[in-house]
Amino acid sequence: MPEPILETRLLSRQFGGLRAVADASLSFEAGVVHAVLGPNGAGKTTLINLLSGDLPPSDGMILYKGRDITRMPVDRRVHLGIGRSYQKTNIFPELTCLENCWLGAQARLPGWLHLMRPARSHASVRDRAERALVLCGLDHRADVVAGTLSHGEMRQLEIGAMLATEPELLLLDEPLAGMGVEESWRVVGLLKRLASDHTMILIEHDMDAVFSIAQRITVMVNGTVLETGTVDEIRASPAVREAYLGEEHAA
Amino acid sequence: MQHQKLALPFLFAALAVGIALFPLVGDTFYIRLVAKIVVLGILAMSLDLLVGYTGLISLGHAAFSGAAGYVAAALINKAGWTDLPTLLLASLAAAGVVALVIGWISVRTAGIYFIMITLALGQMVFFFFHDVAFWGGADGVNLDSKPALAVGEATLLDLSDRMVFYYTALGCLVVVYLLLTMVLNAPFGQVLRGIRINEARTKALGHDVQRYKLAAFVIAGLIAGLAGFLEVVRGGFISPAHVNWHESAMVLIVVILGGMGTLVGPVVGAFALVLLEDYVADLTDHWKLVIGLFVIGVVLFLPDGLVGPLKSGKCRLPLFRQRAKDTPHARKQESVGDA
Repeated sequence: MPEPILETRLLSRQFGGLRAVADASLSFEAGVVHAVLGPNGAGKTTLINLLSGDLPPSDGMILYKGRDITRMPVDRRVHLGIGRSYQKTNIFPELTCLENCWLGAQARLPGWLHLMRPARSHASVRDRAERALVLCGLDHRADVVAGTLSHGEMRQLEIGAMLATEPELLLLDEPLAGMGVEESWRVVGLLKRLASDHTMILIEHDMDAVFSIAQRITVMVNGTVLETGTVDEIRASPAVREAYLGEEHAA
Repeated sequence: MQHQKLALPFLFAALAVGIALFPLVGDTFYIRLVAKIVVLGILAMSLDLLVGYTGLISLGHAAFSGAAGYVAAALINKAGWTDLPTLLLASLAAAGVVALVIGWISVRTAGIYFIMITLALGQMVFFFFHDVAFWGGADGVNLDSKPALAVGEATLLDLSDRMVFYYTALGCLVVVYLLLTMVLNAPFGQVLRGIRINEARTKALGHDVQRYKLAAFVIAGLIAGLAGFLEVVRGGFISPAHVNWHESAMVLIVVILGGMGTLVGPVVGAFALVLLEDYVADLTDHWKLVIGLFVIGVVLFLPDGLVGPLKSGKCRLPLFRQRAKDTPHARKQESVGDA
């Protein structure tokens, strides 16, 4: 079995009396698109928040490339190469698309207290920001203010800002949320392109999209991991069918 | 677009030239008043870095200027120092340390708690200078002498000379403006802007936002220290009132009045407030009421402050302001949230 890039051991997160994630032990292989499925309230977004560092776990451990990052804050995980996008579009609406990506690209400047040289003169940052815009398909909208984009474009920018930090591991929380069919397929195309040189952990409700992108799938129910396997294994699993796929397909 | 971007720097340049030429025509009283305005402008610009650019509403800004002023006064009166560079450095160090401590504690909070904690910590600094007898008590202290810059026998800069002080203060105003412009255009300033717009996302894009906020706090504190040093030299006097929260609130009003996030706005705000105060106080005993109405009027009709129309072209009646929030973008965001 190949080296896992990210591993969780008995990871838990409690909100008051509710265990949103309970004893999740998962292993994510490098270079693989790994989808996390589950009904609403299964703890998928909480899991992503734990992996990205947006939330501290109540218990358990997270290892990135064998290194313990359980207590590491979100901004430092970015420097290790972990990027995330949000389910609820989380961009800078007053800034242009390029400026949105700029902030991500700037995170990779060595050091932090850059007080003197104008930001515009940092060519490496500009290159990274522009590359991210091309990747997410918004290079023709570089100077458009983000708040005026269409919903689909905002979702693309959400991914673009993350890509500007040059992550190796992408944590994608419902990248297709609220999108029309055509917009969806544009983003699915983007995800497929990204899959060739990134590791991805993906939460998504759109089954067709998941089955067309993902190589491995984990199914969560009520905060616990029900099963992990290949796409075919998950499709064939009776337990998964009963807990999740069945009701979803019937609906 | 390009013209609008240049409007604010142009306004600052025009103001600076105007201040430089003013002594040719103005009488002594108004030259003194403009010197006061320039010092207040520096203090307000430093607060604008926090309020207008980083989104940190600090209500304890007088603690930094006051600490710098008190340290300068004590070194002049008790230690007999008059050397300008050492006095200035000592004052800045005092303001920097106070800003570092208050900042280190307060950047851990946000929103209303940030306002309250800067207010509380600022008042602790006030009571320190008010209650500890060494600093001169509630009545304050007069300076025995004023700082001067001397090399060997030659005095290069004697701040007891009114005109020398006037142009030194103006020089400081210009340098502070250029310095803040540089910092805001640098990567550091881009991150501050990100923090103001969307702090959580800025963090998620790999920036340690607390460290940036603390650095902004210390930079603002150092510049406030410069203003506090100039203020005590200008007036030849310092009292706990300089450190009180009334002073902090007044500077905040100056920033809001002139226009947050513009740098030049706070200088315009300082002009407006001080000149209006001077004018109205002669007319009526109820001058504070008049000033209050003026501030309310500006906030209602010029939502981005006195220089707002130069920045955004916005000058609206209050009825129309509500609508601005109901844009397609805002509506879409709400409907998508639960998807």
